[in-house]
Amino acid sequence: VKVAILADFGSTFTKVMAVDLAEGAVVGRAEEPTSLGGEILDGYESAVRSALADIGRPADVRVEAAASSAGGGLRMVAIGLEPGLTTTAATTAALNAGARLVGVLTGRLAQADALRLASLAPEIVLFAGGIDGGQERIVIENATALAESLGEAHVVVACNKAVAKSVSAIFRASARSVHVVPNVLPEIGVTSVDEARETVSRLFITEVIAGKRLSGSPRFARLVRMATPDAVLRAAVLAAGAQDGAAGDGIVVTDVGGATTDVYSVLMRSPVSGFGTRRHGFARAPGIRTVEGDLGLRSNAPGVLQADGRWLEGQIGPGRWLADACERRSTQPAAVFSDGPERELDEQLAVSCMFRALERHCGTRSIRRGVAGRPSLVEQGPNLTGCRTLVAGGGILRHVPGDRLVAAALARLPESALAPRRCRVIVDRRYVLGAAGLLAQAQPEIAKTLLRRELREEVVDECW
Amino acid sequence: MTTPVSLAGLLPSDLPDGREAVAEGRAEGTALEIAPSLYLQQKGAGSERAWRERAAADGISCTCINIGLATWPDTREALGCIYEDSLSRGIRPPDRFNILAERRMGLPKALRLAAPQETGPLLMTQEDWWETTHTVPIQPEAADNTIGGPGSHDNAVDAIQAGITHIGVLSQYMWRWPYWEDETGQVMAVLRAAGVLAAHRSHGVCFDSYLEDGYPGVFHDYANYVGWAMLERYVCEDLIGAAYSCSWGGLTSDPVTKAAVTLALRAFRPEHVPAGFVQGDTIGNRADIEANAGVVSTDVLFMKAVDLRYRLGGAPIAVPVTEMERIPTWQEVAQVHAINRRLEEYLPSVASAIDWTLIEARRDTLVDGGRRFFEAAIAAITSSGIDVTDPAQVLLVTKRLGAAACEELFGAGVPDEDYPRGRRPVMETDLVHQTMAERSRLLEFVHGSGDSRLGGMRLVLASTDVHEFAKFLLDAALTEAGARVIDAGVNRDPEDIVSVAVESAADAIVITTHNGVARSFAQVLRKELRSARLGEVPVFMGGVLNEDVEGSEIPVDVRADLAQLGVAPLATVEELIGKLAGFACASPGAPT
Repeated sequence: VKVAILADFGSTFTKVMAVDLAEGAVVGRAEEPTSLGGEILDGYESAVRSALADIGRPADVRVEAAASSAGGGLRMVAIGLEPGLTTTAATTAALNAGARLVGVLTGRLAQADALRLASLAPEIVLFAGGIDGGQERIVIENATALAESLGEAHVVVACNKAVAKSVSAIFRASARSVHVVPNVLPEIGVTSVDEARETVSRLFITEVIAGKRLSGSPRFARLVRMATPDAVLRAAVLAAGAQDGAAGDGIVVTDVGGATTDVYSVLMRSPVSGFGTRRHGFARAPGIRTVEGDLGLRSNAPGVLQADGRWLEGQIGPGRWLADACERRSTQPAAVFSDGPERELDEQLAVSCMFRALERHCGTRSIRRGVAGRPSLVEQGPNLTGCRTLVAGGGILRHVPGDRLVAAALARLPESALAPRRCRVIVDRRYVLGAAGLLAQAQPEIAKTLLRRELREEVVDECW
Repeated sequence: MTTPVSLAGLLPSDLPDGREAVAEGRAEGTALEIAPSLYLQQKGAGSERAWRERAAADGISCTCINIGLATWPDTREALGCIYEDSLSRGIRPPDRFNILAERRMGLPKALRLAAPQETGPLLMTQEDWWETTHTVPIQPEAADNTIGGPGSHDNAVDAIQAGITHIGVLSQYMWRWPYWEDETGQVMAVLRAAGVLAAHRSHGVCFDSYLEDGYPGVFHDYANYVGWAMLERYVCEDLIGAAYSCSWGGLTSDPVTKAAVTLALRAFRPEHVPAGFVQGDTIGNRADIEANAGVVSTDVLFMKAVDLRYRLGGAPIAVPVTEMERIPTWQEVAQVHAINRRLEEYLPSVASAIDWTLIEARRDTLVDGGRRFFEAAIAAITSSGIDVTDPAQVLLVTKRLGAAACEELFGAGVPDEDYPRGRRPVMETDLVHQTMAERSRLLEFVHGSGDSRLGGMRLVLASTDVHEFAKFLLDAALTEAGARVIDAGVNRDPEDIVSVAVESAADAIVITTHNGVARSFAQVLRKELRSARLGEVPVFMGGVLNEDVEGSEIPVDVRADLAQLGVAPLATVEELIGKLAGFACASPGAPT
């Protein structure tokens, strides 16, 4: 059997999957602790051997690729002029490239911003500002203000094209490297993040991952093709197209982890706002990823308690135990609970994480007072009400009853949230999304088959 | 190719099944009996539809009047006077009248008395309803505020029992009623009422619409009028099971266009149910009241000629010449009714001289266009996962979509960015016709005053409200004058406009406003510009420069306040271009 070996180097585990390239089916899988501090490939090789043995017949490895979030992921800072316009576009490009966004700088930048940038020590800076043929002066001033504070960062310039060359010259003196890409917001209402995202992705593979010194072998750098969240978003785009219309307007993916909760959404069709509804803010990219840095099952369990304490108390009961249990999780991130009240708390925390992360990711519809106190129906942010498929990932959901937890989170979303309704919930029990995102680069059709097969097989419930 | 759109998000997740509401109404309606009205007794017909079909076959012209005095007793008395007046003139009295009830009638009975009183008849008791059919032998239609609102069901039951067999107004499901926020409940009430009507379809009961009360009233293309009527017919007949009657006409002056649309609105309806009425021209009248006699005569003559030639069984309304100035008295209504009857004498001669092939060709074009609209709407609804067989889902999704979006998405015309809704209308409505004429005039003005006077100036253009025509005209004229127009969109807040000004390094900002917020908007905009260190960017504002203030019943003029705030108030587009050109020359940094 001809197989692809697809791996994910996580901070704690290295997961490996063998996919039959003829059938687009998962035929073997294994995971090993990520060997940080030593040779990262040791754990990987061991997992590959197990995955191949799992197949149960001779296998011919034709493709080998990996995504990585080990070593702190891809640390980025996004820079723009106006929130809602170039700042939002830059943020979207960075997050979609799979970055761990350590900071966002916006507006007219000064000394304090330069100091902040230096202290954030990003690996890549994405610099935006001005529409094409628009703002020049402030964009140049911003670049000048930051020029001495780039540290070891690579810079991707995605600003007003009229000044992109000048900006790049300003950065070139101090940055590790400078790359000019098309403006992320060429016109008002047109977000164009793909080229910036691809460039960031390429820099991650060619420059950043090598710099992390996770491996002594050049093989590691050849294996890693993208940051893990980048792979998941690529798979979400593919899955939305592979659902043969069943995805409705598009697809939403949630991923609950120990430190963060990610939400990805891909809209294939533009939802229409109703008559008399004001659209607040400007159009955004159809595919976006958001990361909630305060919502996680382990290191950020106290953050979940802070964000959703009242509901958690209602489920678990008030008292010290809840707070202590969350605190314990943050100090023992490797702890695994398979039953009892601790397991139950993990499940409720997962509901909280998904509920809050979806609530923040999706847009809202509400009555607001505008100029002269006139109330009007205002819609803001992405409208995902027509998405008919939600794919939920995260170790906690892999065991029963993952679908029930997702349904519980969805049921808590208020009518004012522009969140998916009447959607099929699919639990990504086998981490197939990340693998499919990797496979999509070389073999998009096989990746689609993989998603169609795996995600359909995993349908566990319909949530109305 | 345009991005596919989705309508799914417009529906609430807990919308009840509309078919159940229809079934409930139908069950209830079966138990009701239609009392014969004076008019129908006189004609020996079981329903207005039955009589009209007979009249059409026999070549008898019918007429309709609108009468809505301050109260039902006033209206009742006026009806008696009009009936007597006709007899004294020796002409046939009107065949029917529309009950233009007060807005409270749209609410459920229990809420009516607590709501604020407005002008118009309010029918509260069964006796009131009985009087509508038994005062004089003129057949009433239960029209405004009967069906469409949350009180639809109460009204449908009362109207049927009183012997009214044309009941409307389907298109008014678009309306909102004061103190009623429950849109879902409103749609369900309409469907229950429609079920009551459906139960009496075989008795000749019709669910009438008046297109201009719904989105067609603000459509740009007559083909889309026809497409919208196809959508209403689909819901009414195929989904609900009631007979669909399609009235229209008040916003059209051109008699040939009106004839073509009237015929198109009949062509696609298999049963050819006679329209409740064809409304007379309400936009052609001007201040010269005597001259308006020409408007009413032409309008009515053509409506009647079409009706007679094609045996439509419609009932044209003659609009009183004073209607623009005041609510017509009974005498004024009686006078135009007399004109309506007198014109019948000229019909045989005039009808034989009209080029009907021209009108029929336009009819066919409109029907083709209408089909494109209808099919596009059904396809978009279906592909959004909405159940196109549930009348509640179809009614609510189209209501929430809005008129502009309906035309932009489903419109019959070919894509053409020169038009405000992105499509060249198959047949322009009067409003669009006027706007396009204004656009041509402005472009000529720009050419005449020297090309590219604004060479490369960056102008941020935005509207404070939903109005599209002014922004459309400004964009066309300013671009033609050489400016780079950065369109910040409609419905914008001051903060949004400042953000766009920063990103685009705007040389000036142009605001159009029609929603009575001019001063507050200018204040916030100026403040936001200052805090973005763009205090020096000039701001121009045009449109309706007033503001609603407490203590004043009408909005107050705020032009002086605007000037004081440093926002230049404008009267015309020409004035704006002149001022911008002056600014372009005076400002050393500005491009030349």
